[in-house]
Amino acid sequence: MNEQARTLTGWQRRRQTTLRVTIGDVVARSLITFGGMATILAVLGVCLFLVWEAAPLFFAGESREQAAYSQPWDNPAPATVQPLHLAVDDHRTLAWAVMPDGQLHVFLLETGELVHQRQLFPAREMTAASFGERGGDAVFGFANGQIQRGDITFETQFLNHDDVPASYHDMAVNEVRAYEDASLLMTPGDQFRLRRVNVSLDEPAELSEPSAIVRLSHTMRRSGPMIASYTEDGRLLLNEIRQRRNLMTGEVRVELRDRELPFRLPADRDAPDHVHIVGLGDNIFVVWDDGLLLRYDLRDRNDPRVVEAVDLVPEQGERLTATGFMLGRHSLVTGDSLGRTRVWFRVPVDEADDADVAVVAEVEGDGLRMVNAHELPGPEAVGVTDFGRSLRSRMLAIGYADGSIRLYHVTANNLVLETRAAGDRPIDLLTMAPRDNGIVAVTDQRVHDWAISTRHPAITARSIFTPVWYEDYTRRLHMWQSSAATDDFEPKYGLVPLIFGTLKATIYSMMFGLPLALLAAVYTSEFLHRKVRAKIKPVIEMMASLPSVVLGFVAALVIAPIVGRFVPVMLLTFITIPLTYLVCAHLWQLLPYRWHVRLSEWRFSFILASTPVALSLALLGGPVIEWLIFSGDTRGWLGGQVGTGAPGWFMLLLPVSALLVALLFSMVINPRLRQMGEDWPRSKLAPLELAKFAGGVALTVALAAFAGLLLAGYPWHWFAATPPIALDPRGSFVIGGLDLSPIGAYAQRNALVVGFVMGFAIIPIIYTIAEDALNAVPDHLRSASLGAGATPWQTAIRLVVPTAMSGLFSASMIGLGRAAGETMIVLMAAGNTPVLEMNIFNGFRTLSANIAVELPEAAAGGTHYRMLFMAALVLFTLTFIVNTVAETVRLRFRKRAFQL
Amino acid sequence: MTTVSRQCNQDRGSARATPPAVSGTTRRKRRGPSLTAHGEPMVWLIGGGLAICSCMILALLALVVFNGAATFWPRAIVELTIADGQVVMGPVARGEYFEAGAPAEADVVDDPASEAAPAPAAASPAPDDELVTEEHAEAGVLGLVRRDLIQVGNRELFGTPFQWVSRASVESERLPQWAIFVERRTWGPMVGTPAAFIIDGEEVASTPAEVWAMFEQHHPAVRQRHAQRRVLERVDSGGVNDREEAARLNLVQTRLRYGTDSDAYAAAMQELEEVRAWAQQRHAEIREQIDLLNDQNDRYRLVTDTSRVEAVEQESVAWTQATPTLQADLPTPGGDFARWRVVDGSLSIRIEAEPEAEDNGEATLILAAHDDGAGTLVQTAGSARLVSGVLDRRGNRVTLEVDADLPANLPVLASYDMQQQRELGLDQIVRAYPANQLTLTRKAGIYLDRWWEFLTERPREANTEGGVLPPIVGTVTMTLLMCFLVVPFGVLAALYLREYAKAGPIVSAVRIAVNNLAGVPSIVFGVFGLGFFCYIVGDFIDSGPTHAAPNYQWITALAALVLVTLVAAGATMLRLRATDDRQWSVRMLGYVTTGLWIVVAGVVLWLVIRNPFFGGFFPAQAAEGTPVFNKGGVLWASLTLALLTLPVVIVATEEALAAVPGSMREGSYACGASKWQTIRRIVLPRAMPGIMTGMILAMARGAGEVAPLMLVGAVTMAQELPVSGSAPFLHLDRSFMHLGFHIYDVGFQSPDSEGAKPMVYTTTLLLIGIIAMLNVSAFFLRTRLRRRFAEAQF
Repeated sequence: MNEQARTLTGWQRRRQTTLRVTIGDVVARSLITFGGMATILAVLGVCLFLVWEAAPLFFAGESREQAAYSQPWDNPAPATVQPLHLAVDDHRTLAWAVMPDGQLHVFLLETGELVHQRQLFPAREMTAASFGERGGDAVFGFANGQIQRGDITFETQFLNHDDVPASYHDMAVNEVRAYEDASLLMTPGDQFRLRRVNVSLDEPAELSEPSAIVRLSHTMRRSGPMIASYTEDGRLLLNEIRQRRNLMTGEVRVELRDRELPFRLPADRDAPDHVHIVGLGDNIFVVWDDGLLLRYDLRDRNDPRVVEAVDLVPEQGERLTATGFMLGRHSLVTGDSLGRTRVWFRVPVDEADDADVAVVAEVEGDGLRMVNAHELPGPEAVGVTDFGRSLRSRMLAIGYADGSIRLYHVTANNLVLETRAAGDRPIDLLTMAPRDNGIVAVTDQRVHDWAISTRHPAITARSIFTPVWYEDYTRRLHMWQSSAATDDFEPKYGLVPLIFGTLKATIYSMMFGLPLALLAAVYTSEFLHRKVRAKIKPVIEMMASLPSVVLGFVAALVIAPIVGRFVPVMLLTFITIPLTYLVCAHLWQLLPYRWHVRLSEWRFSFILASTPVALSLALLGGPVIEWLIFSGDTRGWLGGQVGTGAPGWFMLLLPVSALLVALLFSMVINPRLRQMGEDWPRSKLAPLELAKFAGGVALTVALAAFAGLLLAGYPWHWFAATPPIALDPRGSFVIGGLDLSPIGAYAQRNALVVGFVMGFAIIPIIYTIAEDALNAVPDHLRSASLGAGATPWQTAIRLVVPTAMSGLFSASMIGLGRAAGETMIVLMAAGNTPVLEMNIFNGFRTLSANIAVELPEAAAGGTHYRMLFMAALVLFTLTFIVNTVAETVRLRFRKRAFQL
Repeated sequence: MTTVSRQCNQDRGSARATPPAVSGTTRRKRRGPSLTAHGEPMVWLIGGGLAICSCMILALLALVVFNGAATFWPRAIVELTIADGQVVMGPVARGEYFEAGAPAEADVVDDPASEAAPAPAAASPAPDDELVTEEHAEAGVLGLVRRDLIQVGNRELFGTPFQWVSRASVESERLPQWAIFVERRTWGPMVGTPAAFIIDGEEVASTPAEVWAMFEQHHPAVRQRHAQRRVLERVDSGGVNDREEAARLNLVQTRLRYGTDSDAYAAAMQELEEVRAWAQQRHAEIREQIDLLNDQNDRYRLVTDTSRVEAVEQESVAWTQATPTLQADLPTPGGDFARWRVVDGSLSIRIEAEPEAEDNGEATLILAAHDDGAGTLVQTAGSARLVSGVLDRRGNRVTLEVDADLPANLPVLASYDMQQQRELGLDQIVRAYPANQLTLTRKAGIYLDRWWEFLTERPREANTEGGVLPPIVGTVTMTLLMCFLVVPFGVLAALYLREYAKAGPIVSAVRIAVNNLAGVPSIVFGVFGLGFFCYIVGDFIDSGPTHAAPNYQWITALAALVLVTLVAAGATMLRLRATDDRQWSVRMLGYVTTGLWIVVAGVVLWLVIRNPFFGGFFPAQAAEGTPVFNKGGVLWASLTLALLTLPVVIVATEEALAAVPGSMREGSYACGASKWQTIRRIVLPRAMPGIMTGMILAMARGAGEVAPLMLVGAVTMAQELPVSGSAPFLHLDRSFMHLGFHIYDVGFQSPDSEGAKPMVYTTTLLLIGIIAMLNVSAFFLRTRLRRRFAEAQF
């Protein structure tokens, strides 16, 4: 109440803060808040951006109906007659259609305005036609037994302003109009693009025994078209058209060679409904609508024969309603009256999975069989009516009898989009635009045109994480193969091999680095002299910032060749080093107690000194071991060329049996020994311990050797002719394409080298954090333990380590995260082959190395580019989870440590 | 664990069972803890872990330091005469022991160079093997034979500059007094003896000593003139080019903006013409100066005897085609039967044995074929007569034309002679020294001179020689830029987290997230940098927004922004006036203010990225397909690394802030200081060493990262440095070279990995040195900081 009275001097200071200070405070506050929040958000934005870039991979496609109009060919032809084939140019301005009577109609796609119309074959009756994939090549068959080849192509011409009549000058950019018999489009560059359909027909050629041609299929080979045809008189023919150009006159003579295939119409059947020849011209499929398929092998031209008969529709009463090929004319596509669309291709018999194939008749095969690799469901119980295949990818548009259309990516089994033609009439004809940006459908009433955007049809969550059946592979596989030398190659984006590689790198480097780092941390914190610790710790910590490119260089160019030269020595070091330490420790025990106490300060020096001993032992013993158990050729043995699996089992089981023996000793022998030797002096006990140790080693070796021989199937020979178990660790554990065998053929760049060198990267991190955690255990606990009579060893193992356990765990997790994300070491030393093999002597490809190798070459915004962002996101998520767990545990541990 | 605990339980049990000690020395002796309780073997195992870690680390450091430091030391040149009469001369690069049984396998595996062209000594396996087995008998216990990798140099002669020589096959060894080691600007080093010195086409000296004296007399001046020439080329000529390019880009930009028939275009065109005329004149002047220097330098030439007299070999090769043209496919990598060599501007052929060829005909030919592919017949004998021979430039196919009918598969016996001299302009010589006459001081001088060259010169010969100045400049520029970017933001974030944000689940979640991000793989940041900075932000800077808003929309938004900003400012003022934070209305006002400011920030962002009036800073370059920022560059690399190292700075700064005792803050408040005053005057100065530590740690981490840089701007060879003497001095858009990436490139992508290894080791040593220096300084700062706090504690 009375402020003045409180001050001593009676002088009251102005307590109002000056405006300058307030404003400074506010500005600083808002700046720091804003800057701080923005910084943190920016860091989190990394994650968001990855998601933002990767997410479009999974967006569905979109379609927009551009136009629907009544059929342009309506006037001359009756409405029920539908064209045989319809093609669209790659800018989606012009389309042509060929009618069964040989009429060609050319019309604007946007409006349906007919610009050109002609009868291709004025005097003859066309009875069959086959149209090629891209080039516009076509083959026609006639009632008089003639076959004629032709090209119906789009022709482009650019016109300037002055070349066009003035009435067209008011066209807007990208507007399309009819101009004479062509389409005219105004380009942004102030030019007109004229596009017309060009028809060129070769001279017809006649069959040697003319008969009306009912079915026709052709494929373009370099030498000319190969044609499979079925004639009215029941013959199946293989025709080849050759053009001979007379050099003098320039006259072209067309020659038709036909060869009759051994075909006999099955008793109760009419003429086959479809005849197809595959892209390479080595197989012909003859198909009836009830599902029977006969496959002819043409590889031996002189002896074409039926090699397979398959029932494509086993269900009673159901029929095939459409057949066709995927891009490349390799995979056969069939649609049936149940609305299913199936994709078939040939795989070797012995490697084929048990796909649902119903073999009708046993015939002498060609070692291949048709398998149903993909099945694409349609709307409920509505028959498939037609396919439109993509001309650049593995997509397939399927039209159904109820007017709906589905666009599938076949390999990924991905329903990209679905649309429907108004009026619910069956889709009679379906065509995809050459750039996969449009679909044209013909019903018996109208023509529909959709603009579509497919985004990234090859990618679904299933296709990147589960095995996918790629064309021409024998089974479903996990594969990553983003580019190849050839054009018609299908990129394979399975992330599993990369994730597997990442895990493999992590596992092997953790197997090597984790125990070393933790042991080193425990020793440093509990047994090392304070002065030595102050020197060693910063050195190891400094290693954490050693650039990984240096490690990668050392791994690839220094260590890999050395390891490659001394494989048995390397393997032996894993045995000699611990063994040497144990032997030395037992010898150390032989020292009188007084010496022991005095020297224990120098123990680490002795340990250090015994390390080279262990290494030289391994160096000397390497050749011996190689000669003794690896048949003198370690690499050959690893590759499986020489020797049996027994040495491998011996090596792998050695640690297990060592553990078993240790368990046995501590549970059975040690208590007895202790009871017995209670009153013995140290000098008497120590030799006994040494003897016990020697016995243990012998037992371990014997146990491992016995188990190894047993597993490799050796002793069974005494009892049975065929051993019940004969396992080889070099590649006998293959599960679903995943080779889990721990050892196998040797590659120069391998997981052993990577694991070893990655140790340099992860040991310092794990060591530092683990050592800090151990140090954080309060000293009063140690004092209490020691005061109660426990030895330092007991204190360390019973008290300090359990108390610091969560810290040790967190250290391991952080090391794990580092190992998973390491790039340069694996890039340089891992060989970078995306294989699914656990083999420690083989290479691998990790997510990180894959990104580093491929991202600079990937086109921004493309599927490959986004898949690499996806890979980065997976890596990010992986490490983020691991790190979060570690961090949470660490914080909890910290809290607990404060309470102690 | 279970075994151990059980064991200890037993221990305790037994301890309890023993009666308590009363007195007497014998009793006490026995009461020492039991042997198993000491767990000596286990302690040794644990210690072994530490021992292995230490050994690994020391071995790695020793490897790098030894190899890196020894590279530049001039080594003696040995001359080895091998059993088959061949003479090999050069310094010994390294040696190794190999098992006599498998001579060639071990080293070839990872060595593309030796694979590509096997050393002549190993090329004819038959005699070599024999000798090896001979040695094997002498070698003793391990059956190992020593072999040396001789740096024979003279790459244009021998194809590969290194050659393995098995000690077993050496007949005599000596150190030739006048053997000189010549480092050349192209074709790598050369080994030979000085034969003559030529000035203006006249031989002025012919004995080695005289020649050498002349060389030492004239070389420094030549070297200096060469340096002058380089400056003229790079600085003067480069400046002229820059100006010309700027004028040209200006023209393109004007065309894009105003069209071709505008006045501005005409003006720009005229300016370009003027600049071109000026540039032409300037170029002519510079050319003249350069020509003058070149003429002076060209006067001096050194002739070196690279003689390696090789015995005439009589071996055969099978031609694959019959007459009239014979064709032979010469060696595929690893093949063993032929080789071309340049002798005095012509090529001579050496054809070695194809083991399967039968000896059923005879023809000796010596063919001299010129560089351009034309061949002249020098000598033939036997039944075949050669008209001409043509070989392709890569030297792996020879086509010989003969005038007689010859059977296919005719074995041809070839002989060759390697006596030769090389004439070399002094200009081409970087450094030369008579390796076997050097005193220790001279050696040290050369050693230091080489280090100096290494640190100050640009790389030559596909980065395998010369210096690493561009990588050093690139690394330093990038790291410093990163530092400028990361420190302010890191400190702001840490201040916010530690001083301003109220502790709660969100803040601890953020802290966990930030700590975590330190563990996110660096390549992920690289992916982000490429996708966001290079492709999105870079594109925006180059050519403006891709989806600009319509003008009216943008202007409306601008107006809205002004409005919202005014409202937000008003709300902020109100909020400042309010004193009682506990009233809910005041708190609501606070939330509203924050929300408004967030809206303002959002609108500003929208206005920037949809600005229809902004057409990019470099539309001309973007239109020409030579993007400026829409690609990797030093700015994007620094930004990416700044993000990467941000957690390091945040964590270090937070720790430093936390270490400032609360009592000091309280004292400051008690004196009436405001929060910001306290932070600025009390907290930040105390925390400064900690912040510096964080900064240095971030620099160390950033300098060593390579993976993200591969994506955002590090290149194998950059013509221009990111820092230069021409405006704007710091070129943020330029790609750069980086020491780490240099190691990756040279060590891993280089075709001649053996030749590149020394370079990689020295670069590695340099990089490790820089990083270790940064780390050590961080370490000392930390210690100082701790000491200071100990004093500052109230």
